Amino acid sequence: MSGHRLQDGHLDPRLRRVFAGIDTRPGFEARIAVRISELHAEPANVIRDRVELRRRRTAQRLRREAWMNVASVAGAGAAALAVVWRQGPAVAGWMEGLLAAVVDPGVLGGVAAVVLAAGLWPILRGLLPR
Amino acid sequence: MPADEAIIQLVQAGREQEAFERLVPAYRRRVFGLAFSILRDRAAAEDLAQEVFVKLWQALPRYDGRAKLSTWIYAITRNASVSALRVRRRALSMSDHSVREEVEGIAAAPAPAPATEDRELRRVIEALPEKQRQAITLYYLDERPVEEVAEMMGLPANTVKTHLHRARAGLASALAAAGEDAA
Repeated sequence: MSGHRLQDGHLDPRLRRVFAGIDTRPGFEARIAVRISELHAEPANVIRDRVELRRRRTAQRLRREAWMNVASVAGAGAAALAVVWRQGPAVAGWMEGLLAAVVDPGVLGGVAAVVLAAGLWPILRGLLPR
Repeated sequence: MPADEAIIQLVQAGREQEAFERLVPAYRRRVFGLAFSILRDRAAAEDLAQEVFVKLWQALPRYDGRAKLSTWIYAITRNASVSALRVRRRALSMSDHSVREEVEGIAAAPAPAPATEDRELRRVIEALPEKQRQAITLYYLDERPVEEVAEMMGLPANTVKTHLHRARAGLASALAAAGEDAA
């Protein structure tokens, strides 16, 4: 490409010297070829790694959740036992009061209606327009 | 450029592999030089030049010949370099100020030291405004004509001439101020 050049007799040689020897390292084209071959080889490795990572994370999550469930149930049970153990007469009194309230026909009807509505809610939700 | 015409014909004939094999040696210096003029770091520029060629390999089948091949390649290189520079600056801005100055000083070193008397010149080049420094780098890196430097920078040739004139004037006065003759 023939083109315009600007000359500066004083600075030109020094500037040429400053920028001399700035180049890529040997084997530049071979390294590009390697990168391109990795590009083609990558998907299988990437997919395998991703599936393995997902499997490991799911297993860890399930283990963690199982422990949490066991700990929650055991904790709730232990707390209930402790309450009954420590506050036996008070709990008995509270249970008696609760039973007396439930036996009341009005309260019993209300509780039954709420339980029924809660049971039917998934079915009703499926029938409602979205 | 005759090499470009041959590359374009190969792409249009669906022979991208051959086209790419010609494209890499034809553009290696220019892609690297353009990346270096923006990033000011040889290793980073080489890494980016490699990335650009991988992008070109992927994009070559879609090259439709509407833009000039060189213009298309320079635009890809400029965009990739500017993005890389932004990432580097963001990474540096998160670090301590004094560390940043030190790292920038190292990253800005343009070359293997050619001669001790040019150390001052390298220092004043680094102090030039960005476009002037880029024009000077591209112009002297491979003795390119102004028109080609302009195409690489995506600027009109007259603007590049102005950048070069101002850069030279700036270099001469900075060297004079440092007590050194430009000659």
